[in-house]
Amino acid sequence: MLIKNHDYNTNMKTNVSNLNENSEVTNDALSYCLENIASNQDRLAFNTVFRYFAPRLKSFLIKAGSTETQAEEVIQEVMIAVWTKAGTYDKVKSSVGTWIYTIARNKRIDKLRKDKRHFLSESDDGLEIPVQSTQENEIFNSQLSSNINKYIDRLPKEQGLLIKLSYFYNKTHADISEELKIPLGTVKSRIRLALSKMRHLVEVN
Amino acid sequence: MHSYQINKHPSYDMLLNHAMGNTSEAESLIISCHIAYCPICKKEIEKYEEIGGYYLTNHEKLNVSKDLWKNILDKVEDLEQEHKQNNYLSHSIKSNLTNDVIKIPSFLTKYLEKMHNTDSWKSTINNVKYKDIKFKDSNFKGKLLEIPAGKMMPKHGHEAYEATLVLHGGYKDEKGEYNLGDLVVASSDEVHSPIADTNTGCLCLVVYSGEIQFKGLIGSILNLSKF
Repeated sequence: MLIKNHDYNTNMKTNVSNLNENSEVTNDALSYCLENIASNQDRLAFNTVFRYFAPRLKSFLIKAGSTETQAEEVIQEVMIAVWTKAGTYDKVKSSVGTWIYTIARNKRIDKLRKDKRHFLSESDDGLEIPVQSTQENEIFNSQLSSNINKYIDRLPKEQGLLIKLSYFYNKTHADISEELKIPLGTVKSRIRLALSKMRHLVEVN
Repeated sequence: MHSYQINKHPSYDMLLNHAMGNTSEAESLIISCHIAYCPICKKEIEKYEEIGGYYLTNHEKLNVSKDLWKNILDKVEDLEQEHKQNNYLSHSIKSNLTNDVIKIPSFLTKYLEKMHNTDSWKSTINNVKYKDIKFKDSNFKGKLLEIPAGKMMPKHGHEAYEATLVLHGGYKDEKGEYNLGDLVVASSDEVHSPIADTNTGCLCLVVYSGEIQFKGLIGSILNLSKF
């Protein structure tokens, strides 16, 4: 029943050649892939999911502070979970992107959790986490979707940036204060404000 | 299934931090357990996860190593696939508090070390039973506590913070009454004396950072005995 890797690789070249780096893969297509992974152990479908998400996960994890090796270890665990849990995916409940995001988040926490204690509400000193430094303009240039922009970019520009820095790139408040030359207290209060606005936007939509 | 009323929830910030992967293991455990009981917080977290999903889907890309795919394919070769949705409350504990088994969130089972019967837990004053939970980050500690009906935990405060999730029965303290699924966060300056519900007793999960400081005479004995 199992397809040997080399046979599989040959098939892949012909059948999935249209799914190159730049082509659009819709959520429906990815969702169909998960169905096939679950019902037919379809390695071709599995490869499509891998080719779509692995490079995005790698970039995402490295921006969030992982080393290259850690990022690939997490990707490996995410993909193994995709294989074993594809049958539990419910397309009515979430998009494939959201499903894989939650898997990646949990795998990353499992892998990297050390002493990252940051509790926004309970302590103002709570959000301090060590991270690699990322240039501000890199972040501006990073390719953010119209979808995520739908939420974040409806915030005043600076608040949106603070949210990205704080939550997706795991910058500490002190780092942000330093990089943007804003006093620490102001960074904290603006992030609070931005969060409550973003929450409202998500609710409205 | 959700016939009970949950009154105490994590703050929005806790939920957001959890959804974004910015919580410690201890915090994410207790929040994950809370949402097994609480559809409201589950929905709130899903909203933020959706943002995370959009974000990932539209993230820039980086090439992965050439052999990554092959390694993954090798690893999944002999793996069993799961086809059932996880039932969040599918595992159970045998407790002295009730003749029925107590359903607990599945996230908790890996911390139980197969000690699913509270008789195998450690005992302390007032017939309180407890099982220590260890986290990789040693700043955080956890306990599962079985407190008999009407019994009291020694009055205590905390150096940092404490979060309690009720898994069976309920308890009350100076500030209120808490029941199944309630997640109560006590901040560092609060001192409280929890008493288990007089009919049902209380089984709960507690995670905390720093040491718990017990007050009063019994408390000082417990502090010495490193409860």
